[in-house]
Amino acid sequence: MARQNLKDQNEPTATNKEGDSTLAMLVSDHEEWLMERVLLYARRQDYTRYTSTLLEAWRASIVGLSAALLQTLQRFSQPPEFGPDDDFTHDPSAAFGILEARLHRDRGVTLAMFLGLMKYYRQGYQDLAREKIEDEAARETYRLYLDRFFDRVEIGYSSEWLTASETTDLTDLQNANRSLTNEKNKYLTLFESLHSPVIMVDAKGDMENFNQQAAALFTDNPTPGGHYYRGSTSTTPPWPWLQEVLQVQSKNSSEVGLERELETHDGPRRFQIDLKQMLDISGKFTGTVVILNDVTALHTTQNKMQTLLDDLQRSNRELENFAYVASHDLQEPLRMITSYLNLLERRCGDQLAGEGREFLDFAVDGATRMRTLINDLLTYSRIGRSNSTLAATDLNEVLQQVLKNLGPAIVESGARIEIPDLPTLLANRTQMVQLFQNLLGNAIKFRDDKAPSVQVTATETGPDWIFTVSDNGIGVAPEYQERIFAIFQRLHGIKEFPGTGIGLALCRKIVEQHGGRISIESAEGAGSTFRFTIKKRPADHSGQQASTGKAPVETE
Amino acid sequence: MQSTATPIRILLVEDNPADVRLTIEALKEGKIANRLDLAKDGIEALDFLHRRGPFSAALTPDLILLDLNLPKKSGLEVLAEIKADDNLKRIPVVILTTSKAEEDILSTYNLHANCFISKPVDLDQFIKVVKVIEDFWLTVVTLPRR
Repeated sequence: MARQNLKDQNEPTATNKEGDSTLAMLVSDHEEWLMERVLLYARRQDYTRYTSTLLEAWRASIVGLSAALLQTLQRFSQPPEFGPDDDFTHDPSAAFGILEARLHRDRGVTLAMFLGLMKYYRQGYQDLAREKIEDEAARETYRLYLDRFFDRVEIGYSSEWLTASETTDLTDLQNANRSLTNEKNKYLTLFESLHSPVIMVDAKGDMENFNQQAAALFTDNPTPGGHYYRGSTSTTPPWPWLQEVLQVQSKNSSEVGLERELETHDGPRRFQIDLKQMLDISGKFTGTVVILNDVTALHTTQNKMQTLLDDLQRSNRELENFAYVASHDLQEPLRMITSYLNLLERRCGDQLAGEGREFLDFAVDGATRMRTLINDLLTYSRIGRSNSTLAATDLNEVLQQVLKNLGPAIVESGARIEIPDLPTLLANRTQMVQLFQNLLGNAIKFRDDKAPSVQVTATETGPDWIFTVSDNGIGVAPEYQERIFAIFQRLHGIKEFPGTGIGLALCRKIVEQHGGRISIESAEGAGSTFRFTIKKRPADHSGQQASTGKAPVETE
Repeated sequence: MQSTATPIRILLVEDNPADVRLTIEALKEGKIANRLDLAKDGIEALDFLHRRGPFSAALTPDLILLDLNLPKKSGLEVLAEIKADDNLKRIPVVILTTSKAEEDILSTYNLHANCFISKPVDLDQFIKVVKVIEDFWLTVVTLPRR
């Protein structure tokens, strides 16, 4: 078919068959032209922002549109007019519109946008006819034909769009519903499998829902999920305790935690009750989630522990009191024994000889040792009783006092003692003297033939002060290192190293009284290091600054 | 000054016979001629001082050595009665006790005890203390006439 020189063709009527083929040829021959023209309009009107930027996509739509036009031209020689009973089902132009509608709709193009763009397709084809056909009558016929063709495309398109959107909307709705249901089921499963009872209360204070655990504990009919199908919970007024708990909420802030003992089907249980207010996006109060945690076991354990602790403290106090009273009362008969032994010695000493003298000496010696023991026991039991006398205590002064008290022993043994600058602590001064005096005294006393060398150190750590007292003495074998801190425990014979065995027990009690711990590092024959901590108290810091302004220095 | 010819009368209020004997022995070592009367509990002490019952012939003592821990009526009660009685309150009362408790010291002085002495455990010390009591109250100070 000759496609060129349409103008040269002398075909005056466009309404005949030749005229139809003229339009058909014109359209077929100007695929590129049409594409460029439509694209020009699309670009100018900014449709390209939403359409494909690939030329091939535009070409394809021009090809499709032209094919639909050619089919229409074959079917209708005259411009296809409309009637009220038109059936577009088998109309090729409408069919094209239907196809396009499906494609565009799926890509998210709106009806309005597509119809708008279609106006520029129409204009492109009209331009082609106007510019390429010279005959005015034919041009008018083609213009009308093209209008009717594009009208049909648009009708097909619009009707398909609307039908399609109805069914799709429904499917979408069903899909959305299904995923919502799935989501809801997920959270319901979570809600129902919680071991904690959870109750939802609406803004009015009526119960909206509660989970299986709450139903089992607080309702008479704990059928799993029963309340979902009976629909009775939405208007259920809250249980009395819940009403009371909700009252607390209204008086307080948005989150409330409280503890209550509640009557349940398992008997009375203690719950930690957390109330969380639900607010919508505008901040409006929409209800409350009430979450219960059974703390009965915890509570019972805590109570038991407290009772045990109280018992222990009371028993400790009683023991301390007993030790004090006993040692105090023991003094009285002991005084008699000692006094009459002395009197016997004074008045009748001359008449005693040999065995008598020896027996008397043993009795006097025993009574004397007993007196020391009782005095030690009194000192020991007094430590727990005089707890309140904490005061800022300069340990430098304490150590001066200790060195003075130990003066004769230091001189006699030739001991060398290194003491660093020490802090000022909130402590019981008398007890600090006892503590250091016992440790330094031991360091000097338990020596071999070497002259004692004793070092004291003080180190500040986070919550504590750490002190050490090290010596080069006889040391303590590992198996005895725990025993030496027990009261009246001795590792050596009286003649070897005299003493009652109270010293380290006293030290431990003093250290513990000051919130610390005492331990020993030692090996037999290799000296000992006693390490103890004293808990820092708020007043320590200023005290330390006031004392020397220097950090305590460890000695070499 | 008391005439050395007249024996000094001391009332010892003490329930423990061992303590009584010890005090007697300690007083024996003293130089002053004295006469010791004994009351074994608080009731007896007050009967003696008021010359009641078997003590109708009792003589008012020059010095009272009073233990605190007594049967029937405590040393504090005895002290309170003595110091409330116009006829007895002038008699010096020496509290002689094993107690060192602050509250005992305070309450006895509040009841106008003349002095509080804690018994030393050591015999020599005890003898010394008894001698000091004797010296001070029976020779150094001047007491009102009986």
